[in-house]
Parts: sequence; C-alpha cells; structure tokens
Amino acid sequence: MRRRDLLTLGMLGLGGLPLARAGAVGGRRFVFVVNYGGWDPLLVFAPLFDAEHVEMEADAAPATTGGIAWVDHPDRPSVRAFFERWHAETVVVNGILVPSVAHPPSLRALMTGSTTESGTGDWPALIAAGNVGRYVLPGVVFSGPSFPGPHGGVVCRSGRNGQLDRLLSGSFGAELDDPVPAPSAAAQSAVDRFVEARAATLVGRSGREGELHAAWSDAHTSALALREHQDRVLWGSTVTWDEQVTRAVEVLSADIAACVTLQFELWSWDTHASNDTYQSINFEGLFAGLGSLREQLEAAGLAEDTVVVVLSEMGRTPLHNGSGGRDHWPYTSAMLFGPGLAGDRVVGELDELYYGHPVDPLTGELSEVGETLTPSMIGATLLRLGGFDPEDALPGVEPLEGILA
Amino acid sequence: MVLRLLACGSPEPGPVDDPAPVEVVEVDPVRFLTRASVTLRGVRPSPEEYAQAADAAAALALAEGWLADARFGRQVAELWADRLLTRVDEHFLQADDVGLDDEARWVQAIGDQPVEVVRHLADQDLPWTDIVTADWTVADPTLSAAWPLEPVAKGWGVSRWTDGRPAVGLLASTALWWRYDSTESNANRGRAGATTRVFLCHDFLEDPIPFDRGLSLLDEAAVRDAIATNDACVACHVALDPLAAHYFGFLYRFEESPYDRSRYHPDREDLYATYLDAEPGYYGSPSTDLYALGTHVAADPRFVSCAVETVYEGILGRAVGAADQAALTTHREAFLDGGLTFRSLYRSILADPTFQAAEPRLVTPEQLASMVEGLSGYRGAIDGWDLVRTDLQGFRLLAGGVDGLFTTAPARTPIPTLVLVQQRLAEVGAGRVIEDARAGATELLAGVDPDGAVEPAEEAALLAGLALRVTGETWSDEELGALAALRAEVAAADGPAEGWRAALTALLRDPRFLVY
Repeated sequence: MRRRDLLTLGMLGLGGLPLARAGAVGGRRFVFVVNYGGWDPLLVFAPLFDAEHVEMEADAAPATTGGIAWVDHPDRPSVRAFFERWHAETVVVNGILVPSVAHPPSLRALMTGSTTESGTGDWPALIAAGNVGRYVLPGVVFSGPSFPGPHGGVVCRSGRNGQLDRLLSGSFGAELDDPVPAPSAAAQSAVDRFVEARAATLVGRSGREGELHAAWSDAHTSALALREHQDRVLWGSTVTWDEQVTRAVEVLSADIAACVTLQFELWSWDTHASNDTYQSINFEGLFAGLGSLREQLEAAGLAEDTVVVVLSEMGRTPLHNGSGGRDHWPYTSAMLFGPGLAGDRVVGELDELYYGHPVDPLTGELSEVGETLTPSMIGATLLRLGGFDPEDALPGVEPLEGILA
Repeated sequence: MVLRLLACGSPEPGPVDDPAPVEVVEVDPVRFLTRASVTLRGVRPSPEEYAQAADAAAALALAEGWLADARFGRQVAELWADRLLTRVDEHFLQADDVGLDDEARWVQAIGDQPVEVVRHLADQDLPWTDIVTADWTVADPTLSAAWPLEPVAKGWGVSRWTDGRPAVGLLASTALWWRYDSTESNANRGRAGATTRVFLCHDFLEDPIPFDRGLSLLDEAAVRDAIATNDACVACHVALDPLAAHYFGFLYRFEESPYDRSRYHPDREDLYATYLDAEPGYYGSPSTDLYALGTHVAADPRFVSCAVETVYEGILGRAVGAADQAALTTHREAFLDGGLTFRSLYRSILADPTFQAAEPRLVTPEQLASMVEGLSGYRGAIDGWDLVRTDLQGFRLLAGGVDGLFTTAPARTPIPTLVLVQQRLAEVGAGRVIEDARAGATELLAGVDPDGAVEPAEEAALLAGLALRVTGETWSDEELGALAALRAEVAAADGPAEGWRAALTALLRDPRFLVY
C-alpha cells in the first residue's frame, strides 16, 4: 500500500506506521502557542510569596480564582480577566524540567522531548500525522518552531509575511523586485495536469527514487488542495498576534488543519535585564491575546473541540541579577485550556529550591515517590488528549492522566 | 551504458586468508554526471556534457574538471551555510543604527559574511585551517562602511580588521559573534559551544544536563563548586569554560552602542577571571588568547575529521553512519594529502563509489534556486531579500531549509510548500527565458522565435534536449509527444510564446528536477 493510499484512508501515523487511536476520543484540534525566549513563571503561574530564595515582583500579590492560585498585578488586568472567565477549563502545570539552559536545545526538548534532533517529530507534527486524511494539511505553522521529523509532508509553514499566500495565489511573480507576469489560469491548469500525469509514471520506480517521487506526488496533492481552499483562508501576514489568531481560526474552521502553531512575543522573553518590566508587558499581552483567541474559537464554534497549549522553553532564575534581569532556569511552566481537561487546577509545584516537585502522573497530585515533570510527559498527555496512544511515539512515558477529564 | 566500479568494504587491505567481499557497484554515468554537476556547480549538465560522458573515464574526467569551475566555491560555501547558521532575519542593531539605509542588505551581509569567507577559501584553494588562523577576512561595501574593516568598494573582497583584534579567521568575525551573542551569565559559553559545533562537530548543547536535586542552583558558590567537582557538571564545564575564556574581547558592555558592539575590546580579555572559574585552555592544554585558540583548533584532529564529515553529509544529503567510516578515512587522508583544500576533498569524494552510486537525494533550496538560475539566468528577490536564503520575505523554510532555531533539520523528501516554491520558481524562470528568447539572449531556446511557428521536427529535437537538460533523463517519444501537446494546447489559447513557457514550466516542475 502506497503512502498516498494511506493518506486517503487517514491511516498514516507515527513514524509512518498506522496510528493507534486510544479510544473514541478523536477529532480534537490543537493550537500551540510558543513563547520563545523563556518566560518567568513567577509573574503569573508560581505565587511563591513566602519562599525564602525567591524574589517576587514589586506590587505583585497572590490570587486564587476557583482552583487556580496565581500571581496578580495591577499592570496585568488581562491575566485576572482570563482566569476569572476561563479558569474552569484551564490547567496550569508548574515545575516541568527541561534538560538544558540554552534556548535551541531547550526549545527542541520542550517540543519533542529530546535536546537532539528527534526521530519522531514534535508534538504538533505527531498530532498532525495522526489526523492525515481528515484534513487538507493537518499541521500548519504560522510562526515559531517546527521539528516535524518524518512528518514534514503533513506540516507546512505559512511564512510570516504572507509567503504561502504568494505561492498559492500566484502573486509571487508580480511581487518580485524584477516582476515576471504569471501564466494564465488555463495554462497553469494544463501544466498541473501534465506534471501530475508525469509524476504518476515516476512513483513506481524502485528504491529511494520511487520514495521521493511518491512524496512529491503527495506533496503536490496537498498543494493543490490548499490552492482549492484559497477562498476559505487568507494566508496573509502573520507578524502580529491578531493576524495569527485570525488565520488560525480560519484554518481550523475550514477543516484544513488539526493543529496550528503560533508564537507570541511583544518584547523579547529573554529578559536578562529589566525582567519584571518586559515579562509583565509580555504576559499582559499574552493573556489578552489568549482571551481573544478563546473568544474567537467560541464564535467560530471551535471551542468545544480545540485545546490550546501555551508553552515556553525555559523558566528564569528566582533571583534577579545585577541588571534587574533573570537568567535561564531549567524549570518552566505550561498552561492548557479547552476540552478534555479536568480544569480549574494547578498541577505540580516549585519547591524551596525552585525545583519542580515530583508528581504522581495518575492523579496529578504532588508525591514524594512521583516523577519530576518532563516535556515528554506533557507530549504524552497531549497525544492522549488528541485521542492517540502515546506509547507509540513515547514508549514508557506516562501521560498526566490526572489532568484529563 | 553502465559504469562498473569495484568497491571494497574497507580501504585497508583485508587479511590474505579473509579477503574483503568485493561489491560491484553499477553507476549510471548520466546520473553520476548530474550528481557531480549539481554538487560542484549547482547546475545541471548541458546535453553536450551528457554526450561527452560516453565512458567511465570521460565522465569522471569531466566532473573533475568542474572542480575548477567558478561556481565551485559557491557550492562549498552554501553547504557550510547550513552548519554556520549565520543567516538570520534580524540583528540587535538595525541598518539605521549604523548610519545605513538598506536593512535587507545589512542583515544579509552580516549573515553572508562567514559564508563568504568559506567561499573565498574554496575559490582560492586555500587550506581549511585558514578558517581559524587567517590574518584576512572578507567584507562588502556595507560591512566595511559599518565595521572596523579595510574598505571594499564592490562585491565581496578581501579585507582586514582595523581595530587591532587578533586576526584569526572566523574566530575574529563580528558577524559570527553577533549571531552567537553572549551575556554576562552565559559568559561566552555559547560562543565556545558554537565554535566546537561548527569546527569540531561537537555540540555541547545537545548533551542533556542532569540537574541534581542535591545541588541548589540558587547557591552561587555551590554551583561554582559543582562545575569544578560534580562529575555530571565537570564533564562539560571542564572543557567548555576554558574555551569560553578566550572570547571576552567580544563581550559587549553597552548593548545598544554600535561602536561597542562592532569593535574588539582587548581591555576586556581578562574578564574571564570575573565571570568564569577558569583560565583560557583547550581541552586540558593551556592556552592564552584567540591566536592560541585558532592554533589549537586547527591542530585538533577533530577539526579535519569534522570538515570531512560535514562535506560528506552535505553532499550525500544524509547523516553519516558506521558504514561510512572507511570512506571518511579515505577522504580524510586525501584532504590532508591535498593540503586541506576543498578541491582535494571533493576530488576524493568524486571517486567514491558511495557518491557515484548514491541513492538519489532531494535538492536543497539553494540548489533549486541555483539550478533555475543556471537555466534561466533569473535569481529573484523580494524587497532585496534573497528568495531561498532568508525567511522574513524569502522561502527558505518553506522550501525545506533550516534556520538552526525553529527548524533544525532540512527536508529530506518533498514537502507541500517546496512543491509550491518549485512551481513558482519554474513559472518565473520560464517566463524570463521567453523574454530573453525574444531578445535572442538565452542559450536554452537558442535560435527559436518564441512568437513564431516551429517545424515539428525542430520542436521535437528542442523539447528532447530541454527534457534531458532539465530532468537528466532521455524522454520517450510518448512523453515528448505529451509535452508537445501541452505546448500546443497553451499556444492555442495564449499564443506560441506562452506555449513554450508552459512546456518549460512543466519541465522545471518535474519531480525529477528536485532529485539528483
């Protein structure tokens, strides 16, 4: 059976093998929001006001909304507004150990579970691969990281300045510095048919060449499908958060993708100087943006089946440095909201050393004999939320069953 | 016609009573020639060149001649671009911060500078050790206007730093250290890691850090002690920190100052004593300054092995494994015997049965653009941004390339956005060929009036030649008939020129065009 047949049947899965669905749960969509640079959990997620070795921000105060304890500050009304409105469907996870304090390997570890190039692909790619056949192109990256591993054929980038739109619409030639007029639509269709027929004669070749031509044919099929859906999505600029959200909701609404990746950053999250100022601006903007995303998902009828995953590849030191900044710290936090979660809850904790406290994955409760939370455990949890058996991609890794509804 | 080469399992002679199995490798000379041409020149062979590859000796001789091609250095440099990873879309200082007005040129010049140093090395057949020891560098008018460099009037040319910095090849490059910036807390460890990753193929950052709950990261003294005594910490820091101690002349104290960030600061060289519990050293050997570091790196056996591995992986389009060790040893010896010049290394790889009979691989974004340019003369840019070397306006990641941060592995098989990039490059490339054909300025449709009629026999011969040139294969009469029918169909609707354009576009969009 050829890969194209698997695409049609929706059977292509992890590492190119048919994917095992864990149960009846399926069709869940995901929005990944990556905050690259390393956020500071002490500004929102970790209210450690009594910890001896932790410097909290001036004017910050502990707050609790429903089951979620968080950090309030007069400069961040959007954080309060978000928790007040959406706490019941929100889970905060504290104390996730990322095994590096450098940005690139930490980001890879956060998204794939490994500091090295992953053989399986990142969480969005795994979820996308598990949804082949249900969507035009199951994974779309509007901004931020993408480590698709073997699933490059089912994940695509849009480009931040409307590059995908230029490619799909044919405005490419006209926007070049030295413009070249586009061929007519009829000529383009004729060439499409020709190359499709030609590709069909090549896919039967043996060995690696046959594989490459089969992959080309699949990619061409996906590209044509994207072109056919042009009127349903404006693949324009995704430089701003609002643009990313608009595109994401369009893509999810049009059933083009099961999984989209966005990036949020007003100022750099990598605050080695003036940490509290810039982290505060970023968090206020982020939570305002997340609130807007949640509302737009609701308006589009997507909130019932869309999980939003908010991540950053590292945390920051609990003490300020000489520049008012905070340096890199290997424990970070994550926030998830949406369906399938036992919300209104904080899982995990940062202890007196500002290390993550072990957690019992089954219950999500703190446990001295539990496990330190890792990106792989988050990944396994997301696969479970997506309706897949995480054992296929992450053998031996326990998902946080305790946060699942 | 098939080349038959004898490939042994090992370059070392086997025991007399246990001869190594001899494997007969069959090589298609047309494919070999295509592979060699794209690798060495970034373009596909011409039909005339294919015709010259009548036998094994001719094919190899032709390919070896391409080592002297003017495009060879560019191909070497672009292969190293994916290891240097200096082409980012923005820098801390923008063009107007340094008195320039072309942001696209500024950003691309900085990212290109280390790549251009490699290109100069390859073009001039200089030894690879120059990359960390040379007293020269290269610059263009943009960089020489903004940085302390001898002026360069046009294009990329040899220049020298004028601020008295240690002249040690790329180790003295402001472009490299802007890409791999540091902070006081990082204390140049990132720069040390970049040096070992690029030149020694050892990436400290890939090693997971086993954070020990018994160690308080909040206790600065305890952390310093752990770096010196805790086995898990020492394993990296004993080598990393003495390397990092070399770079403090590049520590910037006034981040927003163009002057501070553009210059080397000899007065800061000793700040390692403040930020590191380590003096300059090189994997256990004492060291002093950047000059000494360059000498250490150049003399490290891993320096040569890493270069060979990087080039071999880049050429084959896959990671090397245990089965490649014998070949790597052969090429390493050839590289050393040839004075560490890239021509000597590539010449050795050309003769490698693994290269000659390698499974087809996907082109890189750069090779795709280069092949289209080679056929059409058209490269293209948007607002001054190169189409396949950048991501802000360009299509590097969409075409399957890497930026080293948000995407770290190139596409090994076609992806949807690559197929779209191929389509649009094909359309504009073919369009440009038609325009040039009207002016009689293209070799591809030489003698053809694109707006006029053409005899069937002439058309058939022309399409057969184009198909061979673009796809590296001889097309059957049936396939050529279909191509002619496409040309006729579009010509009937849009005119003869658009018919030619459609035929050429179809060839450039062929799946074979992405494979070599």
